[in-house]
Amino acid sequence: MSRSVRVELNWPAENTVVVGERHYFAYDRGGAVHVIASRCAHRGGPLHLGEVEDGRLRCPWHGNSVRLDRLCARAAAVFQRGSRIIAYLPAGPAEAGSPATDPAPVVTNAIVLAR
Amino acid sequence: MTALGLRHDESVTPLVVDFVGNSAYRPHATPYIVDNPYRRPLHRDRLAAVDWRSPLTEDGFVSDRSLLANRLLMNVYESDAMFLPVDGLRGKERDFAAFYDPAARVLADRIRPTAERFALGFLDESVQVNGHWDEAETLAHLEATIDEATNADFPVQDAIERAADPRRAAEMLMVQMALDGLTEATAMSQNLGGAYGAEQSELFKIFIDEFGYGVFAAKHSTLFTDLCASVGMQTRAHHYWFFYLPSSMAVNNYFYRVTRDRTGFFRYIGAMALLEATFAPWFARLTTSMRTIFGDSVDTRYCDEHAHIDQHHGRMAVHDLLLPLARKHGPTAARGLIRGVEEIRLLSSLADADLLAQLAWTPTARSARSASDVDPGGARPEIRELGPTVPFETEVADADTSVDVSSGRVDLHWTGTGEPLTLAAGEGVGVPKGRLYGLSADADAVVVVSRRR
Repeated sequence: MSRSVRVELNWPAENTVVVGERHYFAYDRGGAVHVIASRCAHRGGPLHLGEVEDGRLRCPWHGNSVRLDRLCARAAAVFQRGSRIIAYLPAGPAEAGSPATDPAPVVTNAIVLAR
Repeated sequence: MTALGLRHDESVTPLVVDFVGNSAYRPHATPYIVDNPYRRPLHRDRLAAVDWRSPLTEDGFVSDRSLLANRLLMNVYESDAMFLPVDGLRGKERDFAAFYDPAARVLADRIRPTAERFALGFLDESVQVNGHWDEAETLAHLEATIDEATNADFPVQDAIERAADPRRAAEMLMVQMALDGLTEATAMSQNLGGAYGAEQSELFKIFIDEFGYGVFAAKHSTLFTDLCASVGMQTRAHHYWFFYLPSSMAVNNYFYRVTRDRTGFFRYIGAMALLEATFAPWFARLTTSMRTIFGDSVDTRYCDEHAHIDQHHGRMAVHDLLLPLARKHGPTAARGLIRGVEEIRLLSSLADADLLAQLAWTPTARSARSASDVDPGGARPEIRELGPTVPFETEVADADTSVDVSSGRVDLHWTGTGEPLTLAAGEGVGVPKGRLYGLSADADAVVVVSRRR
């Protein structure tokens, strides 16, 4: 069974989670908050700084766009009750022969242009 | 659009009025229903006034509309389950025929989707489960939730022990528990049929525990009636009909809702698993309260059985039922399972808050208020005539309310057991917003019911 990292956000005051080098942003789609990995599948561009248009999120680096419904379907597992958001982020790959440890997640407020 | 062709925004009022016209739901003169499981009074005029197109919100969950809708839903569901009077059917044949009348069942099926959406639809907004859930996330969230729940305080047990009248408070808790206690595992039985693999057999294992392995004396509902009888309470369904709080009925109705609608299966398993996994410490604490309040004479086997067997049921429901379902059926199933966990957690917390507020209220008589004390912005004061032939009814105060007796003597009922508060002419009582109460009079009397300033 894969591992996961539990984080809690006070939405919308907190909209970003950083786990080591991985960056996630919270996105409100019709009242449902999704926690999405901010990494474009093309060259790793920062999706949280992209623009939303016609149901698609456009990466600010090379202009690749991805359907938001698909992005949300692949987003982290989230339970939402009012402003309380609990997300389960995938844990990083464990080194062979060493115990699986992840950097502590940092929950913060950052500039998110993808809205 | 529902499966039966009704639009959710279509008013079902004419159908509700037809359904309520069934003689089983006719008005009842006294505060208690004596040995007739089919008699479940519904107030036609008050139900006819409900706007079914404006569902309850979480904020309005404890309200008179909620009381009415949940009573209606309860009859919709339970008229599809088997009830027979303990002392036999003789003399109640007409009520039996009316309660199970096929035409009433058709009406019930047409009302149900709209009434469910009205009473419980707010859960769709209040609880959101998003993203991609797999077995790992499901287990992690479940473990954290169970840990939180089993390490929480026991506010209901604390409240009944600290109440001004602990015995009365404990009995009011038992009145609420009777909703499920007297028909235990009826909703669970809805999912015994069909064919869904090894998990079906795992559910059956839990079910046979609930049914005492076919031994009536060991059936959980029998243990519950023994508990009630040991403290002098009535044990017939639904003797305390008028004193079920709207939130208590909503919790019970929730389980019927997610079992009647087969797409609710995963939600049902999630909700059931959470309760089974958290009941053991809750019931162990309840045994302590019962002993403290009633002494050695109380029969706590119902609580003791749950305190023991739910340690097993919690493990079985989570590891042999819920997780295998998440593993086998994927993210859609996992989201449903987690949704069920969170929906019952929310409903239970709302029900606890409702019961705690009811237990905290001890009405006391005061001098009747004058017209100048009435909230000028509220509805016009209502003048009610009471008497021995006027049907009994309970309601939930939708605002801080004043009940003032103009003539005669009036009894105020606010719990399922214990003496009512008797008010003479010139006396009155305040009813806080959200509290359940009923009025009765042995002889002609007049009261003024008004919104308080």
